[in-house]
Amino acid sequence: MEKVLKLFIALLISTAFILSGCGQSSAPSGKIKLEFWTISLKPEHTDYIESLMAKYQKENPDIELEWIDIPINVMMQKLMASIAGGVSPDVVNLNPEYALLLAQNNALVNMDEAVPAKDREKYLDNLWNAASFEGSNYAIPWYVTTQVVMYNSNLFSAAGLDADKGPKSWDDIEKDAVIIKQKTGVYGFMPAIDPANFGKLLDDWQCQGIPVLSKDRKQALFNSPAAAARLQWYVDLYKNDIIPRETMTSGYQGAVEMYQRGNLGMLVSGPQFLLKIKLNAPDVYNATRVAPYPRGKAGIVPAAIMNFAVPRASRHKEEAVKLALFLTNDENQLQFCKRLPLLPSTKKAAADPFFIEGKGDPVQDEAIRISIMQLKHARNLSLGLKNWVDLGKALKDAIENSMYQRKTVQAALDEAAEKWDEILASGDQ
Amino acid sequence: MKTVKRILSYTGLIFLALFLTGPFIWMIFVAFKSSGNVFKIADLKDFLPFPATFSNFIQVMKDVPLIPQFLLNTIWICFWGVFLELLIASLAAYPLARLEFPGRNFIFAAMLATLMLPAQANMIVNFITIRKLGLFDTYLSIFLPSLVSVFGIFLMRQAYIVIPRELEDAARIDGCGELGIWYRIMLPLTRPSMATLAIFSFVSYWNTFMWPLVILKHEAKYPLAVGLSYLSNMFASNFRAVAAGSVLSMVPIIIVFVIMQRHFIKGIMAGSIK
Repeated sequence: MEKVLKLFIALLISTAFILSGCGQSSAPSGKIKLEFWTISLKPEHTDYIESLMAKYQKENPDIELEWIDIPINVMMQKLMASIAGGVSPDVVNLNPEYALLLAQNNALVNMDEAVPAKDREKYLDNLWNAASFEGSNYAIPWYVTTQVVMYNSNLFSAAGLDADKGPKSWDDIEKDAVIIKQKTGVYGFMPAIDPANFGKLLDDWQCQGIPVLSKDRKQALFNSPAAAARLQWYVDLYKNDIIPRETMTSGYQGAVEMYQRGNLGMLVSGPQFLLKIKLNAPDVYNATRVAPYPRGKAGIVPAAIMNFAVPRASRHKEEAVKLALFLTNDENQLQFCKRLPLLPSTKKAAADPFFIEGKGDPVQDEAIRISIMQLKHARNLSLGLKNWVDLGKALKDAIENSMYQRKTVQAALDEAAEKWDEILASGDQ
Repeated sequence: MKTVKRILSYTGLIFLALFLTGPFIWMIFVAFKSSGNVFKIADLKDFLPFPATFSNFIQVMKDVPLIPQFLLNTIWICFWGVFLELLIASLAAYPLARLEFPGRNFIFAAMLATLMLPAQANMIVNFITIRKLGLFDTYLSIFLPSLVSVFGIFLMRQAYIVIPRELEDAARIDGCGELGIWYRIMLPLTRPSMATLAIFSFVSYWNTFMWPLVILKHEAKYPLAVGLSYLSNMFASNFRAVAAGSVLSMVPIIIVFVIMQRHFIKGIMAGSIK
């Protein structure tokens, strides 16, 4: 399905330029009208966005803003249809995966060119480049979360573990998970390596300092002994019933629900997830403690990033880029982070004492404090490769064949790497 | 002996029914839950919604104050969508099933072929068409692209095909024109299939999500399914409110199903008896 999707992006971008002559609504008074889209912020953060709009319009009286909020699962379809239909938004909230997909089809404004150096420098370097394709960045980073380890201190105590000390390394996670399973009967850990989320395994390898792709991006390197050993570790956990069967079927969502039921010792996720636990499982929330993400050899922490991109089909690209810079400036980001357990992408905002001092909710404050200290290690690990669906299929098969022990891990990865090489050689990356 | 057998089979059936409706029952219970862990279902005390409360429904109204508007939008869309879809499907299927004309099978095959196209392919073409027609951000734009339902035409064609030729001939002898035959003879005989199609199309309009979001700009025109997505935002979805919203949105579907149920069951079995 995604293949078809991609084909159509390419198609529609071309249509967009043909059709761009037809009816963009422009404000009657000769004002410039900018339309910007966000992902799922209504209604809870309507007041925040509206306050930004009011501020912006005061500073820019000749520009009129229109805000549209869309659920994430419809974002790409709506965006593609709108670009094709000649009603492209001017600024759009994306994540690096979406931005890369669009950038590959030449649909987004190159931000390295459009944003002056003095503005680029305000963003953390490791985040500015999150949506980079062929050496150029195509989106301005907005809010960020870095992964932490949340653990259920009740289960830790029940298993005789020190509830004040979370796991420090992946070895600790394994050890704790074994003890929790033995002493309490519930699972201690459920990694996000289900085949449907094959990207997580690529992230994991990269965190462990295991190269997955050659420098020229033509060759897969994940059939190295180190990569095989990492996957073997998961296979052994699975075989020995240290991680649940659902690891292979329900993935991250399954882990999240299990944790909220109080049936999972540890969960690796972003701090914003704490909001959900607080609402849906207050007892588990109160028992939750937070530990830093166990950094592997690469010393990096996986980060989820939201950003703003400007479609090339926008009528007012210059103003649109300025609006995106305004929405993500120090002051506005800091204000947003004070509402939610999120991190900013600008240097000045990230240095604010608020992130260390907290706002009086011990669990979230702890998570944010740990999270902000990891921020300089944060990376978005998307590879930004074309033919992502086919590449994913090969890796998915390798995960299944390894976990269900149909093949040795090495054989399964060799097979996948061979397919990758074929696919990578066929398309220009 | 007979009673024992009956008790056994009913126990089995009740168990099966509970099993199949389990997730649904859980959702209803969550909608009425006041506090505590939503996901814990280990023992009955955690599972049952006691003390029960309406506060989640009130929360839904507070979070999404436009819900009555969304509901009216959906009813409006469903009414026109279902009515026109039925009309077009039953009219279009009639000649395909009952009249002989050159190219009939080709037309039918061509229509079926469009079913193979992925939804994304249609979406962008539809979007551009709607824009060119000047219908962007209107109610009409929501149901216009799906008014001609190939599935509906197919279903109705199968229903017409099994009607005995004699009935049609008798009507013709009595002086009925083609439209008269369709209206007086065919339509009443295909009522079960119409009811089936009505339910299918009602449910799909009721749940329509992606397309309205793509084609609409102003939220005041959103249908209910889209409006309810406001309950689960990026960071913290209150599962109790989501459950309450889902329960609210399902009530009308259940009502329609109960009304149409008799025909619906007949529709499923249509073809096997006639």
